[in-house]
Amino acid sequence: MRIRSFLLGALCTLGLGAMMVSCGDNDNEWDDGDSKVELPDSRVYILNEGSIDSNNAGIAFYDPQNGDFIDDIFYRQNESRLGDTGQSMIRYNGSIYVSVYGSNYIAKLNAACVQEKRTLFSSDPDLRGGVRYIAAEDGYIYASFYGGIVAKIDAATLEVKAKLNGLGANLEGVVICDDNLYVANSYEIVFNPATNKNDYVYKKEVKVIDLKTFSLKETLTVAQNPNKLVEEDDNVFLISWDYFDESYVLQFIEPKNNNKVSKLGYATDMAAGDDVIYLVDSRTDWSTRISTNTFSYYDIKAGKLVGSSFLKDAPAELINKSISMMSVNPENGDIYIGTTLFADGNGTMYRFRKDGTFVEKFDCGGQNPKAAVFFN
Amino acid sequence: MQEVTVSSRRSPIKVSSAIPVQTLSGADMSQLGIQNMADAVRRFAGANVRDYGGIGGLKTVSVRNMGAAHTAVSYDGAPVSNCQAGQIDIGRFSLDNVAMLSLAVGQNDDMLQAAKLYASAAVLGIRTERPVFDDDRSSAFRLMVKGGSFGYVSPSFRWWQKLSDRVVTSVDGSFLRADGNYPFKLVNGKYVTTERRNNSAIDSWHGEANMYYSLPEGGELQLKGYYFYSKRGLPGAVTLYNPVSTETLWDKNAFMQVKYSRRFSPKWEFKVQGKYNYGWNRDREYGPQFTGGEYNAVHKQNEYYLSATGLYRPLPELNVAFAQDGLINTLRSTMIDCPYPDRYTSLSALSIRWQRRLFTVTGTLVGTYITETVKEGDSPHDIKRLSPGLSVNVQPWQDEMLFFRAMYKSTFRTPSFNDLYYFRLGNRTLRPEKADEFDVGVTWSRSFFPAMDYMSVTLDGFYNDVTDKIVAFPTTYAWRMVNFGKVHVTGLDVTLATALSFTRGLKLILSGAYTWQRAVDLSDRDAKTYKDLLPYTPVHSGNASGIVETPWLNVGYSIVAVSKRYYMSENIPVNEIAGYAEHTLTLSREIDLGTCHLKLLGELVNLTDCQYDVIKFYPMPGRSWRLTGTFIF
Repeated sequence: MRIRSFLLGALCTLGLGAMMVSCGDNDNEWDDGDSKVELPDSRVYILNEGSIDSNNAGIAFYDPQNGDFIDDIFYRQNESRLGDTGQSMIRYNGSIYVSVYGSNYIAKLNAACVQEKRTLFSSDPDLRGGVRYIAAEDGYIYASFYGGIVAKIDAATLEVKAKLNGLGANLEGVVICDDNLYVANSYEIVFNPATNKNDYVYKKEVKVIDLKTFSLKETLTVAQNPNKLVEEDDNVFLISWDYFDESYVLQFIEPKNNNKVSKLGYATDMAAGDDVIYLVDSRTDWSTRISTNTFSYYDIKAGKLVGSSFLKDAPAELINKSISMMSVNPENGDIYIGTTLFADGNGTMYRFRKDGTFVEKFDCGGQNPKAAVFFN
Repeated sequence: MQEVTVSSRRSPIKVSSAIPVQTLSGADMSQLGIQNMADAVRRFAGANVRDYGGIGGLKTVSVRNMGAAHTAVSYDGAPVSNCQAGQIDIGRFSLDNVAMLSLAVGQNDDMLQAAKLYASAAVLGIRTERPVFDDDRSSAFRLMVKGGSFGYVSPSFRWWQKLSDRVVTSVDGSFLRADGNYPFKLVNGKYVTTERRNNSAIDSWHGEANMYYSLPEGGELQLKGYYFYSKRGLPGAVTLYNPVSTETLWDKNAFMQVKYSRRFSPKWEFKVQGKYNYGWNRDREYGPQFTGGEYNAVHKQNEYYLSATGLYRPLPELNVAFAQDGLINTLRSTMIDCPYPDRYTSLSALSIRWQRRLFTVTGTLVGTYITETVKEGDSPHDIKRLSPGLSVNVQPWQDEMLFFRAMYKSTFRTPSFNDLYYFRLGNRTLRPEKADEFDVGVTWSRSFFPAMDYMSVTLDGFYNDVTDKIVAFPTTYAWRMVNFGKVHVTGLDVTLATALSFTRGLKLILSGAYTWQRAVDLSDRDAKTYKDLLPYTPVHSGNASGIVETPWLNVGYSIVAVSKRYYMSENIPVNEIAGYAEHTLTLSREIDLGTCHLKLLGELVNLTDCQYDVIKFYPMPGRSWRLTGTFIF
């Protein structure tokens, strides 16, 4: 079921609008119902965040076998835009779940990116602050919101089943480990009467929520302004955007050791692979305006940070690009590194094999690549 | 500098010499159904207005795409400034008491102008009405009521009073309210829905008082007090699937200005003016993402301004003017980490004009010194610059109003307080953003037959070079303002105007303007946007208007059209915005009631109901109407 050419949109859409395409003829369990496009078995979907107030978020499709590409398959399949500021995208039970911050909704898409359900949050005063990151377990999607709320959402119906209020201020990254949801409580803006100014107050908390009871279990103290969380091998890794440190702070949370938090070093982004956390640390010299990326990794089995790059023959320009995402295909270990031009142009994706060899780079089809999910 | 009045009747374009100046009179604006200041300014060739839609939406003007901060706005000769944002919201100025709008690229002909206007790349001049009295009257009044679509109501009054032979006063006041919740068509792929622009209501008050005193020893003293207040909802960009909008903006602006001018002798003229300006605004937004469910930001700006200009004519062919301005600008704000900056500016402009027969050359040199103090952190470096300008004008034949001109001007814009101090984004090491303007043009005006009062044509080719452009420069997650951008603008402005008088009081006035330009980004050779058109810079733009005056009814019709543009830096199809053409029809009639006059005006704006955005996702109103009744007594 491999597509031969995606060169022209016409080839993909030729009157196939009504065609029901399913993967019943292969071993995959996912559903391509109502797809207007015939898709191959191997699929990479890239969430392009877009830029704020521009309604230009989108999901790009990439065929890792032959490099075929569709700029915005969400638009192709659903004939409507994804919305404003794509925030988070995960794969769960053969479906894709995407949260869109500016448009403030979560959607469930099938494996062909056809929208099946959508829940808007703008009419709920508790959830008007905007949806941020999502994680899934046991039939529920857990979503963090600005305003200090985590919502428990039925993964099948996208109905909000419960809300946990009062978790802090603006919540960011979420990750599930060992039936607990870890949520980064990042910052709030507070008026300070003493100075007569608004101040950013950076929080130093990761909230641990027991998913069995959906209640706050514990609050961990971390470096200020915690943001990104990933899980690997029952360990949790955190990056805090501590603007007052020399760079963003990489931390290690050990659920099996009473959630002990320790600082590992510095990283601006990370991705979990097979027993490995891939890291990049970007530093900017403002006198030359040049940013330089340093790639390294954390070997979980060995329990040590390895300073050498996990990339072997990366294109030279990558070292100075603004990296907006890293993601690893859990099936084969391929590493995807997305770079951004922010609102100045589409992002670029660099793809590497697990061993670090460079495969290819391609235009992301949208601005600010943010996340990727993989099918085969 | 020679300035030729080409007709006893109004001329939409002032036929002047060395620099392109376009004007629009209050009467023409009324006849053409012009809605607001932005609607007026977009009819000038080369003016690019960014309009965020609706009555309350931000409206800024960039001339020949150098950026809004390069365009100065003068209100009755005194510069208007906003050091925090660096650009002026022209939407807040009322047209009710405006006698004349002008747009001068390069600089104005007026050698007695303030140094700050000499220092700007372009000047939008707003000149308010001066009282004029019929022979035996010492007072005059005007009451006006406007009403229209989307809950628009605006009553206003004007009172002119002659207190003595030497003292004349005027008082103006207006109120405006509108719901602003106009419908618009939202296209999202195959889904086309009609939505409403919610949270767009506006209330505003505007008051102004003037006193003109003709001094016994010669010269004139003018005093002006101005107050403006508005409360407006900010609907923000249309966001797909999320209609929530809770932001409200309050603005207060008050200023006092005094101007004294005197011609001491045929050789000496002098003008001095002072101004105190207070600006205040508050921004409030609701939402659970804000601590306590509410976010507030308050900004206060003060400006103290003093300017003196002297003009000396040592020889009949030679004019020498020297202008000296001093300004103090302060910002007090709840902005995170606001360092409470105080800016001290000195501007000195020397201008020399030599005119012999049909040849005129003008040279200017503007010296700028800016120093700044802050309560926290480091102060920016002082700015010390000299900015030259040169213009040449030739009128080959004395009997023919044909002028050839060439102009060069070097200017710069100072980093705004936001550029320097905005939380995390600001950069205190910024340098000024430089602009070099070149213009070559021709003006020709004559009457070809008796019924033609005049016909004037102008043609200007221009080239602008903006370097060290202040832009937000991204790295991983963090942005900072830097001097990085480089922009080249190449273009052509054409204007045409004519007036015809027929028998039985029938008159026809036609005018049009067209601009072709390419404003390209040359900041980074390796960028995807290299040589791409800047966002919101159409290649083609223009307008045409016609007014038919009859003894019974006046009819005005105008079209404003803009070609496709890009709303993002990268010129790819997904970033395109379609072009548009907006048509406006007006009908008006004046009724003479002896010593009183009644004027009725009906306007049908955007009569084709064109759905368009000037700024992407800030839709403009579709078809709307407005009725105005004016009673003058």
